[in-house]
Amino acid sequence: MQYTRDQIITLAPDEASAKAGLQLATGSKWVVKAGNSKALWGDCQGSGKTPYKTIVDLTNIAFKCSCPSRKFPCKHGLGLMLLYAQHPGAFAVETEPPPHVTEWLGKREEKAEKPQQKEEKPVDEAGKTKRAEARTKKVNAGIEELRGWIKDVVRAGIMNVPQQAYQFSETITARMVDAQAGGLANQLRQINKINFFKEGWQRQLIKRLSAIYLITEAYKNADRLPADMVTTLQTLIGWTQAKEEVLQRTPVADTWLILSVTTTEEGNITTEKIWLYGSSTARFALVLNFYAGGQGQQQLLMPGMHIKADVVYFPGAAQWRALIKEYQQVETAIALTVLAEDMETVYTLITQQLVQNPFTEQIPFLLGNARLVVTGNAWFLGDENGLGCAVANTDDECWRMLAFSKGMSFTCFCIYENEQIVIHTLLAGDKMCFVR
Amino acid sequence: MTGNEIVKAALLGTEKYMPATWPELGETGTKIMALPTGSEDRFLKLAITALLYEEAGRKPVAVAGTIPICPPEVRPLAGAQLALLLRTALETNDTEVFQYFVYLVTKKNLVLPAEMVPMLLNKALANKRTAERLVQLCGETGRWLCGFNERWRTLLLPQEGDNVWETGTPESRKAYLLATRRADPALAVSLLASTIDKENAANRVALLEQLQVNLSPADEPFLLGLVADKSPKVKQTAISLLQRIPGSAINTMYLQYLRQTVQIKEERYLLIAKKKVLVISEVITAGEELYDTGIEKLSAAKDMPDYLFIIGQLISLTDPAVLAGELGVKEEELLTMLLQHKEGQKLLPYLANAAALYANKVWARILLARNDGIEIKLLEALPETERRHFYGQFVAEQLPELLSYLFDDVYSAMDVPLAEQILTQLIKKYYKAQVYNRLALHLPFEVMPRLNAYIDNLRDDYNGRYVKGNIAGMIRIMEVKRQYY
Repeated sequence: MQYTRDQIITLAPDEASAKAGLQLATGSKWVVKAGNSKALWGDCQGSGKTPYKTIVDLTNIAFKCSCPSRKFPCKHGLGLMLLYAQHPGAFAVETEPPPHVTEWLGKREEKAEKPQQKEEKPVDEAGKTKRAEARTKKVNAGIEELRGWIKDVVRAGIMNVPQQAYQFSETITARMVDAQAGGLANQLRQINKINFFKEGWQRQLIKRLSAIYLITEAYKNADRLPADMVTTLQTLIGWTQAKEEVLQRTPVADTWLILSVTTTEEGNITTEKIWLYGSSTARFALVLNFYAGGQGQQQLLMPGMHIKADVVYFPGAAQWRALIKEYQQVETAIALTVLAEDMETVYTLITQQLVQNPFTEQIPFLLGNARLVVTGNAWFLGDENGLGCAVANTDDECWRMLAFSKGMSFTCFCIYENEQIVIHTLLAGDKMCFVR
Repeated sequence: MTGNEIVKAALLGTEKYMPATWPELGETGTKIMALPTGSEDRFLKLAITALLYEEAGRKPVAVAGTIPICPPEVRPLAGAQLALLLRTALETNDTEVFQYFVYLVTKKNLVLPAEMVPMLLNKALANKRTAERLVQLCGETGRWLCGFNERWRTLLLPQEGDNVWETGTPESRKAYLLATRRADPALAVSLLASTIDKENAANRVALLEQLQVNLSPADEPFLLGLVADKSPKVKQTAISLLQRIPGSAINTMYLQYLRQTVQIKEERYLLIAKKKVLVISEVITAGEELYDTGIEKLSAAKDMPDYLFIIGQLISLTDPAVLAGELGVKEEELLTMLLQHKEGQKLLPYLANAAALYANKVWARILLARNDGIEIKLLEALPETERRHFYGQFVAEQLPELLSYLFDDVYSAMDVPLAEQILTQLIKKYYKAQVYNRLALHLPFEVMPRLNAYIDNLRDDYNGRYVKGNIAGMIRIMEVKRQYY
């Protein structure tokens, strides 16, 4: 295992867990600490009499701990892994793990194999069609209502929206949920992210409203659109694709670099976004995981990890969402093909993407020979031709990046979103700086 | 213009304003405008088309200026392990451990990795007292980064400019005066004299107190001028300083009174031998002028006669070496005779005070050798190497004060017996977590088994858990320290 401290920290569910994990990464806290190539296990002396039994599966990162914490991974799991990253010599090497470790690892292996043994249930085609028709009816009714609402808004004008920003789209969002058009509801929720106290909200709001209107218009004319675009529209409206069906598609085998892992929370749902980049295919892939409440993460992929994996893309027009079929960690770093060496190329890529799919929310790109430039309080990502664009990273992130790059050129992984560019990862030589 | 038109129509509403198509949209715009639908439908389609066209046709901007490349580090880079330990301590707000690793990196004259520099500079901004040291650890990268950041740039400016005395905060002015007093005592007095009339009473007291360092007869004229100050506290502070200046009018008056009331006489014993005996007159001859300087007339303690109380106060403010000279005996002889006096034991605190105040090594050694923990300040009269023999006597009663002597800037490890003695005391009383944490950095590793035993054996009540928690913290800190020892 060659996980770095920073990689392990990214697994922490929150800052408090990361801090607590760091504090537990000292030998004195662990009555037992041992491991082998497959797993680490240890007994951590907490405040009670019985030490907590912690296990880390190293083959396919996963944690188990007997502590009552609902966080996942808990501080003990993080602490054990951090301790190993810092002092592997402090761990006893045991080829034969204790029974509780063997049992858990065995269960995990069994579970991993189970989906293949799943028996196919007979499908009630008639029922399925009936349900689909009923849903289409509901969705269509919802869409008509939404179109009417948007028209009412633009007829009356948006001048007074900031005064009732939160309630503005609340009712229609709820209506979209009722109409089983969850995708449209999500689109409407994006309105809440607009900063109505900052100049420029008018453009953002009208763009969002007219984009939603365009989705509904395109959906109404779906019979005149290519199949891929129809699938994209269905996803945008709220139809989901079963994982099992997606996994049947032809996979793309490659060695992938995990470029960034970010999580956002909305309500009780945590969304994890994992961006991958294929070394030989030079393709991006976005793995989305959704966790409700205290549900633990399924794929513990860390930024900077290289994995050999079969990745299956969701159907749709020019999009990156994918599933990882199976993967194996690769220890050696791989060379990346950087498609953009200047900002002109980046903007061309953005244009091409919008032409293929005007509904694209995020456009990833790798830019080589990039530099950071600060003018006053504004930060720019520039190329060697003196061209660039403003970056939407926070000031703290920009200073970290400048310190890391020391004014020299670097390769960076960025995401274009909401007409802004955000740098996620910097790569310089064999070093990486995970900004987000 | 397109964007502005869209925003204008969106704000006013299509009922009031409906824009025409734009030439940039070409045929698409014309087609949309020709749709037989309502104005809202046409506007929304026009808006999204125009906005998408604009977005898709955007070009990069010219970026003026470049950032020069950071110069290479002159000093060696701290190893990964040391940098990691320091970073962890910083990120987990482990203040004492962080300060320890800062000390280590500074001592080894190393610089920290570039990635850590922004967080260190932010930390430096948060605590100006340690800022200079932290900036040093950031090396060339730190200096280079500060050049682009207005907030960080202030870290490179000389700490407090030349006008700190005129414009600084009360704390920085105090610090400035103290530093000046240490370097040039006369300059400190003239600085204070130049502004004392404009200061409020609290400031006058606070600034006057800084003159305790390097007190000399040269300060007397200035201090005498303050004896008539309208603030009783300022007056009291000035007098207390004058009392301590050997040769000042007040101190000379004390010495004269002592010469009148304390005498060394020779007595015969065993007929042939002679013995020096100290005699203290029980008659009080002090005039009002003595009491005007703050000396109290009446003793509050029943077993302390008034005459002895007055003598005690005066001895505590007189340099033992000067007094011994006046009485024609050696310092140790004088102390022995004072202690042998029938009431001598009652004078003990006053004698200790005089030895501490005037840093009299002879008296300090004798008094500390009594091993009764009478006055911890006596330690200040001795060099550090000599002090450690006397630490033990202060563990039981004056542990917090003793720790301030033990917690030195170079993180000296204490002797095992003293460490064990302190630990025994530590579990009886309760201190702040910072005390336990800092102590952990001074404890020898040999006491680890003892600390572990405390964890196993301490009671499981509230207080026991508090101490256990802190001891567990100490063990963790010692482990961290051992990782880079």
